[in-house]
Amino acid sequence: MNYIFLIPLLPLIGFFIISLFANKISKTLAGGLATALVIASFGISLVAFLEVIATHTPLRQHLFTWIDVAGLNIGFDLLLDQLSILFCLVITGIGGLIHLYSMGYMHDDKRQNQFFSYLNLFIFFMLLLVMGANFLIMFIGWEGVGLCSYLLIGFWFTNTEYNNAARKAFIMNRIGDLGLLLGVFLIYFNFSSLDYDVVCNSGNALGISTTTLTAITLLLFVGAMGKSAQVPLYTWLPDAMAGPTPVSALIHAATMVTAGVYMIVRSNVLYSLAPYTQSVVMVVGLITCVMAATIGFKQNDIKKVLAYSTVSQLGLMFFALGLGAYTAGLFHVITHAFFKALLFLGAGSVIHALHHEQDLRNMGGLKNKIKLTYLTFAIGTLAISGFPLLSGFFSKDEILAAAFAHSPMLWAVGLGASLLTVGYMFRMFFLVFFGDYRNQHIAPNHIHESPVSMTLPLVVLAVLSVVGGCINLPHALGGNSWLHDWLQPVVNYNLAPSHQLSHSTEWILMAITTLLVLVVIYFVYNKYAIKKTLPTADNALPLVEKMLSNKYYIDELYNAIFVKPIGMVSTAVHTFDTYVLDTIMMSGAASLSMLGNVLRQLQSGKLEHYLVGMVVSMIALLYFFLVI
Amino acid sequence: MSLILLALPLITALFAYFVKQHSKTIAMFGAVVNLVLTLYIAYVFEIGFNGMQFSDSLFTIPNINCSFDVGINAISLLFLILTNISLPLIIATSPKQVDKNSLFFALISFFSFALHGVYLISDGLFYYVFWEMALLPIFVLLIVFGGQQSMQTFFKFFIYTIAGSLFMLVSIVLLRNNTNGFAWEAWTNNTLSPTLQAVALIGFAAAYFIKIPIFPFHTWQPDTYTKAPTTVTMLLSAVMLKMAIYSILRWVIPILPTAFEAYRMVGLLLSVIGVVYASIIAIQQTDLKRLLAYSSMAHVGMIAAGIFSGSNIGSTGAILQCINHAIISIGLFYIADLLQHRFGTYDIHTMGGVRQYQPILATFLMILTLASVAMPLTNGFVGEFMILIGIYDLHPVLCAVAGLSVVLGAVYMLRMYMLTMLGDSQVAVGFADLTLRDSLILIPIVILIFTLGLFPVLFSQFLI
Repeated sequence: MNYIFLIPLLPLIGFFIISLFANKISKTLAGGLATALVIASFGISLVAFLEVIATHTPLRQHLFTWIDVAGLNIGFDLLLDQLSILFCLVITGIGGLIHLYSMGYMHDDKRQNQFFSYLNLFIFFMLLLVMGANFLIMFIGWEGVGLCSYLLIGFWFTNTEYNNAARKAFIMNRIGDLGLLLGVFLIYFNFSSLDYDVVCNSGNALGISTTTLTAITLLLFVGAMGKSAQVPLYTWLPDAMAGPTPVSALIHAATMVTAGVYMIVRSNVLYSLAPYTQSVVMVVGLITCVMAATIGFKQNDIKKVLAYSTVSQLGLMFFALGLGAYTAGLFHVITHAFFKALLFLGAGSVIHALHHEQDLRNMGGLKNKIKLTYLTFAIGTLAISGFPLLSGFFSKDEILAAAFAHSPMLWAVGLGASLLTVGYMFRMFFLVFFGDYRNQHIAPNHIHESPVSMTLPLVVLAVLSVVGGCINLPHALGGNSWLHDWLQPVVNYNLAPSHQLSHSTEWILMAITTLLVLVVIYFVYNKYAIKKTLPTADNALPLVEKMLSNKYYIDELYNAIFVKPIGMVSTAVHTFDTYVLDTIMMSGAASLSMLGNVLRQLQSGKLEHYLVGMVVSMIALLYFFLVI
Repeated sequence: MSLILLALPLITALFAYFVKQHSKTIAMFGAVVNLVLTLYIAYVFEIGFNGMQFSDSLFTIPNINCSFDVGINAISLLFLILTNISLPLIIATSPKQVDKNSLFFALISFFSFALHGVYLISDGLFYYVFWEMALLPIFVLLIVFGGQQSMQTFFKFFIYTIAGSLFMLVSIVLLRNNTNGFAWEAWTNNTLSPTLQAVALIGFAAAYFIKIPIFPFHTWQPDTYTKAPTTVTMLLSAVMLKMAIYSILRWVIPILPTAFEAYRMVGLLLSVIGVVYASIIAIQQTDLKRLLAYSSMAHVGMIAAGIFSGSNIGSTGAILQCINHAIISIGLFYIADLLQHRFGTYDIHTMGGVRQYQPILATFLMILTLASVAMPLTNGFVGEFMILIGIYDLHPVLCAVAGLSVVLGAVYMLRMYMLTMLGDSQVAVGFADLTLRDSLILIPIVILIFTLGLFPVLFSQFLI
């Protein structure tokens, strides 16, 4: 029996049951059911994974014909191949852990059950996104996760600021989606199909002109910019931190925001054949990576720091994709999912312990009070910093090596960006866990470690953050690049540029990176842990820092050039419509119809005249034809 | 069979009017019977058969070469389904004050009769008669139930539509003189010169552009939709304007193919302008009904654009979207009314807090909002997707411009949702959530939204 439809179906069932009976079932039951269903999906994904390993053939399932009209035939088809099964494992695995965590984190919220129904719905759409066998099924998931993101960012809907953040996320994503949709149209007109088998096939793609492929890939990339928060469509992601912390971990760090990476890896054949787009992706990724990292330095909200860090890391992934290092980009998606989920959940644990305090300036010295959180958070921070032998080290190293193979200058910029990451991550880390306890409102002895449902996921994710690099150990360190070989059927390495470096070069690069990481950690440690420097008050900042603290005023800029003008245009057009156009049309209608006089008389007269007029004209017509 | 389908609403109208009691029940019963009959016809319909099925002829008038021929083809079948799905819902949503009013329901049934006539008839003269006849009950409904202070608005609507109809009359005369008769079949073989074809096209276009409405012939629409009783607003937006879409497919494209081909770009351009124009206006609206009116204009602009794209996919998408738009707009206008009953106004700035105190109502509106912004898996998506593909084929830039509605729709619908449903406003504290009756109306709508979102093939199969 073909069972892969169960993977997305189970969380969907969970969504229906929990939302229909939200008021009738207990919180434990709702949370437990939601978690169990996602874990069950994980189990089925594992079975499927083993099957793909054993057979080397993708699993497919045709559910029904979705669209069938005039040559456009879209099946509701699922596909589990080497690429999508990895995503399924990450989504359901990390998703399951975050569900479990949420049972602790959201326990006091009176709408906890609804929260779980949304989370399950999200898992369903995210699985559909990666399991669809054509671009349109992917698009269903793509829009669906956007919807869930909207619902969950605005989960506390009595807060207008949160509602606005939710709306902003949805609309910005929609801008990207329009690009994606146009890209899908262009694919359809050139390939006469939207199936991956047809489109992502080098034989077919080679028959399409480079110009067309460039247009297709650029349009798809616009979609990725929205969903994966790349410049210029990134400003929704920091605002999205309005949602509950597990949401930030699951949707806005580990899974949904990597959908853009998934899509590009999925269509890597098209990208490899469009070198211009590749350069654009690389540059946009690099700009995003550096820009977000600099902003991250001056944020004082623990979740905002992590949000900009996510934007920056996503930028790094796109940088890799732009270099043609698809496997490296995907590798970083996976390791990032581990340690960023860990960091967000750790931050949630801190926030939980401090009763919803999110400002770094009101934390400090927590390392002895919430020890498990501290330890796991330390592992996450080290992993994201690329500390040797932790997961982030390997994935970043692979990206930097690819950059070096392309040009040492790119390598230097990429390295600079990752050092910035080390800087702001450790700044945050030391501000939270080192120094003096600074919170005025909560007595230090009132701080407790989170319940086991929350710490267990932290521990599991910490372990994964440590060992996650094993899936793609480089040959230079005696590994076998498992991920690289595993993706062979999906990623066309012949079309992508080669990034082979000699082992000695790789060792030197690793050594330089490691050395610099350690130097940065030392300086940050000195500043924030030894000297106990605190972030300055916002109004006392020097100009450059003020600019960073205000995120380069990009939100203000967008407000000034898009949001406000559109509002003004809307009012102006409405005025025009009501007063100018209507007058023109009415006088036009009246005079043109040659019955102007009659109509004007009627306008001042009784309504019945109209009816009489109508009946008369119809009778006249009949008479005209019948008699004459 | 076609004649039975046509006669039933007329009989219903007479019963509803003369059996004073239970006229709502009678109208509802008649509408449901017609729905069942239509679905049965769809079930036995021979897909792929090129021509009329279930043909009937009532009488002929030999000396002017006109005959009362009725029949059903794939396109008219889908518009009959649209009409017959919509009417029971609209009747069900009618307000309590008119429950005892036999005129109200007789007029709706009579309206249904005229619509069936338009969709069934194959004769130009009777087509015109039914087209005009459909206006009569709407006029009377507006006059009798619309309120004195809105007469000015309704006049505007009447002037517009009458002017449009007179233009159409010219075209009908032209075609009649050319073919010496009224048979649709003969009209498709007309020998009009290209210039006269263009003249005839203008005549039809005037009537249809006003009815749909297409920019810039829409200025009657926002006021009329806003001020008409909600039942009439639904009849106009969900059902009546679809007559014009159908007419373009049935009475323009096959009859004036050269002229249509030559000028459809104008129609496409105006439609696309209308989509963006209406969407932009909707962003700042404060009156819920007016907001929905502009939203409706944007959606029907998209439908028209699909027709003018001239492609198979585009017009299939447009036909599906006609049905989808009917379902969604009935739901949205109904909820607008429910909110008006609770808040005493349509001003969205005075609403809010509903999500907290009437969660079921808020959930239904969320689903309708999503369908309206073309979320995949709702019915709103598939039609719009096909239409955009159709436009893309012809003109990628226009497609991108029309596609802006994907973004703008989200802007104004989510703003509407936020202001009406969210926030911590306490105004909604004491309001009732949905009654059983409300749910019984909205649940079928939601079922249709998802069924057609998942299985658009149910309807699109007829158009192969």
